[in-house]
Amino acid sequence: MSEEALVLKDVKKVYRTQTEEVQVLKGINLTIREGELAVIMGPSGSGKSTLLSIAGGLDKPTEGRVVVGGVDITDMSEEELAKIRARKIGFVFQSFNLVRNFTALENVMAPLIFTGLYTWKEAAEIASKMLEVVGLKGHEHKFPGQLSGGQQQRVAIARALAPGPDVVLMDEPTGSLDVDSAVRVLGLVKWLNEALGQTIVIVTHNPELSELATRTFYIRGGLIYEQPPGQILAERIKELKGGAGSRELKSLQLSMLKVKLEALERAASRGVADPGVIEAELKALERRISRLEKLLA
Amino acid sequence: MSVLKLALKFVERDILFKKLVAALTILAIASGVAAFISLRILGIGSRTAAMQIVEQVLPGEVLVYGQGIYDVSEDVVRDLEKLPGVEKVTPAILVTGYIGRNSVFVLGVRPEDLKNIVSRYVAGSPFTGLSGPYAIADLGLAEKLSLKVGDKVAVKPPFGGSFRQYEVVAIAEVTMKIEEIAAAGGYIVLPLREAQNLLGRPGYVSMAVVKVAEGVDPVAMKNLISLIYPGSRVMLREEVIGVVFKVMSLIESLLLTTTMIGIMVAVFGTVSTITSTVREHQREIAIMRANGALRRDVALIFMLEALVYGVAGGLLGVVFGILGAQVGINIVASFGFLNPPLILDVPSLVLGFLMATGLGVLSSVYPVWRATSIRPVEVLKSE
Ligand SMILES: Nc1ncnc2c1ncn2[C@@H]1O[C@H](COP(=O)(O)OP(=O)(O)OP(=O)(O)O)[C@@H](O)[C@H]1O
Ligand SMILES: [Mg+2]
Repeated sequence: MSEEALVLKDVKKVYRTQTEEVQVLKGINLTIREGELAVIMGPSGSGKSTLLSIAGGLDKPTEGRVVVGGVDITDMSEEELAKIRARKIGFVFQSFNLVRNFTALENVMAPLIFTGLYTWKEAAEIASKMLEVVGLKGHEHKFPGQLSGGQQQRVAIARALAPGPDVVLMDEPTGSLDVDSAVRVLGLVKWLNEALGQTIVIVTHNPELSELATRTFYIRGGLIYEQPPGQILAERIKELKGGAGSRELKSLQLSMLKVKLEALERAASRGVADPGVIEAELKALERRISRLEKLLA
Repeated sequence: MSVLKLALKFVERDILFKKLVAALTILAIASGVAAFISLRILGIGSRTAAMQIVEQVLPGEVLVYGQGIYDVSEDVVRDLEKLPGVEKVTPAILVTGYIGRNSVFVLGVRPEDLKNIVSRYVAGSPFTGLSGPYAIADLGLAEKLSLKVGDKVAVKPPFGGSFRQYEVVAIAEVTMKIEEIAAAGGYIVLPLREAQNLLGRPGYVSMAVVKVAEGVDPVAMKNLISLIYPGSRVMLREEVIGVVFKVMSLIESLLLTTTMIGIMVAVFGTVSTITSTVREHQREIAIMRANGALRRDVALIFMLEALVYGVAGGLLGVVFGILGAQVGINIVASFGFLNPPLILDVPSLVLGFLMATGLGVLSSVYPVWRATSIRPVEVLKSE
C-alpha cells in the first residue's frame, strides 16, 4: 500500500507587493506517499515555508493543484480548508507553537475538538495517550510556560499527530532548540514515522536533518529537486525512542484508534459530517486497526 | 459543545492571567450599570413618594383656585358641595409667612381635615376647634427653631407688620408638600379661621379641594366647575402630579446624561480590553486556525470573554446600583421633602443587567472581527 498522502501539481506562487512581483515557486511537482518522511531543504528565502503553507491549506497557490489524502483542496473555501486542516493535516512550527492559555493536554485536544467529531472526554483520552506516546506522561496539566522548549515541541508534535492526519508538516521543528533537545525531538519524529507509519514532511535549511529522511528534496530558484537516495539513515540519532516501548506503543495506538472509530461511527450515524469523507476515514481506520491487531496478536 | 468548553477554558485563563485589567473592565461596566440602576430606582422611588404625598395631601381629585393667592370664598366651598357628583370639599389656606426672620409655610385647615396633612404626631395633640390661638409645628421647623409643645410663637403674614401669637400644641410630620416641593422652610399649621384672620381675609381660602363621588369623572367635574366659576383656576390632581413629575423628569434626564457617559466609558473600556487581548493572542489565533479552528470558533472565544465581562459587570452593577440608590435616597430624604422608598424595580434591574451583557457583546464585535480576520498563514510569519 503506497497511497499518495500529498501531491503538488505544478504549483506556482507569486507574491505581489506594491513595488514588485516575486515569483517564489515556479512549478513545484511533488508526490509524498503514505509512510514517507520527506525532508525538503533550501536556503533562507527559497520558499520552503511558502511551499509548506500551500501544502497545508494555509495559503493558496497562484497556479497548480494541491491534493491532500486524495482530496483536492485547491479550490476550497477558507472554512472548508479549516475543516480539512483539523482532520487531515498536522502542523509543527519552529517555536511558540502552543496556545499559552491551554494546558499541554488541552493543546493536543484542540484540533480534535475543532473537528467537531469528538466529545470532550474522547478528545481528552486520545490526547493523553498521544502525550504518553511522545513521552510526556505526567505533564498533561502543565501550561506551555512550565515546559522546556523541547517538551513544548513534543506537545506540538503530539497535537499534530492526534487527529491521525494524512500528513504532518513541520517547518524548522528544531530551529530554536539546543543540540541535545533537537536530537531528542528528531529521534521522536523518526520513531513516530517508523513505528506509527505517520507521513511527515519537514522543511529546513539544516542539512543534518536529511539523515532522517526516507526521501530528500532541495528547493532552489523556485524549483524542487529530489536528491538520489543511498545515504546512511539515522545512524547518528542517539536515542531513537519515544516515551513507550514498541509493543506498548502499538496497544496505545490501538486504543486511540478505537476511540476514534467510535466517534466517527457516531458522527456518521448522526450525519454531522460529509458521509463520503466519513466513509473514507472509517475505511482507513479499520484498515489500521486490523493491521495493528495482527501485529499485536 | 466541546468547543464551548475549550473556549471557556481559554477565557478563564485569560482573565486569571490579567487580573487587574479584567477587574478594571468589569468595574467600568459595573459603574455604568450602577449609575443607570441607581438613578432608575431613585427616580421610581421619588415619583412614588411624590405621588403618595399628592394623593395623601389632596383629599379630592379636583383643585379650585381663585385668581389671587387666597380669594376663593368659603361660600364657593359651600356651593361646590351642593353640586351633583361632589362628595366632599376641603378648603385650605396655604401661604408663606414668617416666624421671626424665618420664612415658613402657613397652612390653615379645618380640624377635621388635619388627618389628611399630618402623617404622625411626634408630641402633643392636635387642635380641635375651627379657631383658637393654637398651632401645630412641622417637625423640621420645630427642630430649626427648637420649639416645644407649650411654646408660644409669633407668626407674621407675608405682608404688613402685624403678627399673632399662637401656642404650639403639637409637633408633627406634615406631608402637605404640593407645589412647594422644592422650597425650603417648615410648616406651621393653624385652624382655618385663625389663618384667615391672620391674613385679614375672613371667609376666604386659597384653594378648595373637591372630592368627587364614586363613578363621577373628575374631568367632567373640572369642566363643570370651570363653567360655573369662569374666573377660577381648576386643576386635576393628576395635573398637579404631572407638574411634579415634569420637574422630576427634567432632573432625571440630566442624570441620565451622566449615565450615558458612564456607559460609554464602559463600552470603551471593554472594546480596548478585548482589542488588546486579541492583539496579545494574534499568533495563537493563527495557530488555532492552522489547527482547524473555524472563524466562528475564534469568534466564540472572544465574544465569550466579552460576555463574561458583561455578565460580571452587570451583576456587580446591579449590586452597586442598589447600594447607590440607597445612598441617593438618604441624600434626598435629608433634604426633608421627600422620603422615597427603595423600590427594587425588577424591570430596571433586568434592563441594567441585559444592557451590560448586551454592551459587552456589542463592544466585542469589532475586536472579534479583527480576530477572525487573522489569517492562519500568519503563523509562519514573525517567528
Ligand atoms: N506575504 C509575502 N509577501 C511578499 N513576499 C513574501 C511573502 N511571504 C514570503 N515572501 C517572500 O517569499 C520568499 C520565500 O519566503 P519563505 O518564507 O517561503 O522562505 P523560507 O525558505 O521559508 O525562508 P526561511 O528559511 O528564512 O524561513 C522570500 O523572499 C520572502 O521575502
Ligand atoms: Mg521559513
